[in-house]
Amino acid sequence: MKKILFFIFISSAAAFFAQSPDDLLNMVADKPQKEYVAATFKTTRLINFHTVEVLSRRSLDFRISHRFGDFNSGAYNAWGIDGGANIRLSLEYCHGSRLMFGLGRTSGKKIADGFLKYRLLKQTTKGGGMPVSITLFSSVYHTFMQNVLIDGVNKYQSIPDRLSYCNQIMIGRKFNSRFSFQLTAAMVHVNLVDKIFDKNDCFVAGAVTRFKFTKRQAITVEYGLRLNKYSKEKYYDSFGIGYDLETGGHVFQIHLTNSFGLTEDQYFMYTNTSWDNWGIRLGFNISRVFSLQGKNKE
Amino acid sequence: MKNILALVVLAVSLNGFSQIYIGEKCKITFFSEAKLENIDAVNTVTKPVFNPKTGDFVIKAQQIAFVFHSALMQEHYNENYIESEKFPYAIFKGKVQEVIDYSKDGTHNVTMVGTLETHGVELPRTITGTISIKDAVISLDSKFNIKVADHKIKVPSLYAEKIAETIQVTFHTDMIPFKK
Repeated sequence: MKKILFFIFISSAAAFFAQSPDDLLNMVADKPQKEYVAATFKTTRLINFHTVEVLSRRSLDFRISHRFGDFNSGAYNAWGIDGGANIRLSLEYCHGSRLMFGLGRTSGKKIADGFLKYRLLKQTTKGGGMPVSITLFSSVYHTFMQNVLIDGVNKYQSIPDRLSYCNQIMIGRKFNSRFSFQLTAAMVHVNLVDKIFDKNDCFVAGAVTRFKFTKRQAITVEYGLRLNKYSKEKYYDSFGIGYDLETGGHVFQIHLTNSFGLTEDQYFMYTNTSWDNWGIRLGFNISRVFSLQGKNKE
Repeated sequence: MKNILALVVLAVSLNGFSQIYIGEKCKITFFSEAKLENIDAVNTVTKPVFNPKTGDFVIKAQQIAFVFHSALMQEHYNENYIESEKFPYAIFKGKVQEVIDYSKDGTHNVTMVGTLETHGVELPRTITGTISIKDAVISLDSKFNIKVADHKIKVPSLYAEKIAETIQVTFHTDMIPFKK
């Protein structure tokens, strides 16, 4: 009896003394709320590779990607600046906050592409218990090239011949405000390949990372390891190093990469120049995000 | 034994006397009017705590719970300005200076003296507002300004035309007796 009474006394006394402002807060402090981690990467692309990021709700992203010619084309070609450029223009949109789509056109190989990207899981802060973000990606590419002759025969006989596809699973984590890392598993399928011995499928394991060194600037690195032998031609793994600069609504990405292609089927599978002999190029992406959301209603 | 009983009665009664109130419908809005862009955000998930007996009022608002009309602004707010990973909360601790009978309905102009902490910088503040009591619900309304520079929030000169130097904060909460 005494013990019980004493316990009641202690607990009620504790409640009574808990009256300083700090105690006041602690008395009603609720569990940390589940919050999603934002901005694992600055934009939906790192250099060439897609990141786990999906545009935020009602955002329209206008992107310009540009790759110059090879460094090893020499002084006469201003180390690639003069020519052999590849340009992709695209419009990408997200209405909710998980599913986005994009349409693009690339000058090299005259490719029109369309993609869907779905944010399956979002990394949460400590209270939420989800350590990673997972994003799915699926795309289709159509080349408009005419009169491509193989042994005197037109390569593209029908529309399916012109198509290729890419599917990806991306698993990324923002370790802290500076460092983010992502693993990518990609599969590229090309409907029509050049040589009879070539395979139609290519599997890629990719890694993508970002290190932010100021609030608005970051260094980025991406690498795509091709897992199967799909051609007798000499192709290389895509590797890029970049610098991100964010200025309000724009993100500028300047980088060096050995990939000339700007679409997944090209840079994963058909990167035909190597870092070893300066088969790299200067490139930049510009992303301009327009917010189509009106004002807060209240 | 009797002594203990007396103490228990005393403690329980004192405890019952200092009923704590907790925010039910709380809305914090901030608004920045600048040359190029208006910025507004609203936070409706925060629950302030109030002790009518002592006049202590405390609020701890999570920065990432502020919702902007543009998702991009929200990202910039958290990533570049308020640095919500380093400084996740805005905290106000204040004391209502006036003595008010909270058991009667009515409206009172009040002054709260305390500290406001945001972006890791704690500043002494005196904030005025009104408290109204109706049917055991205590409502608090206030409007005050925060100078961005006071809290060491850096705005690059490039964006000076987009972000005002002073942010206007509007605050409203209804508070009800807190039950465990």
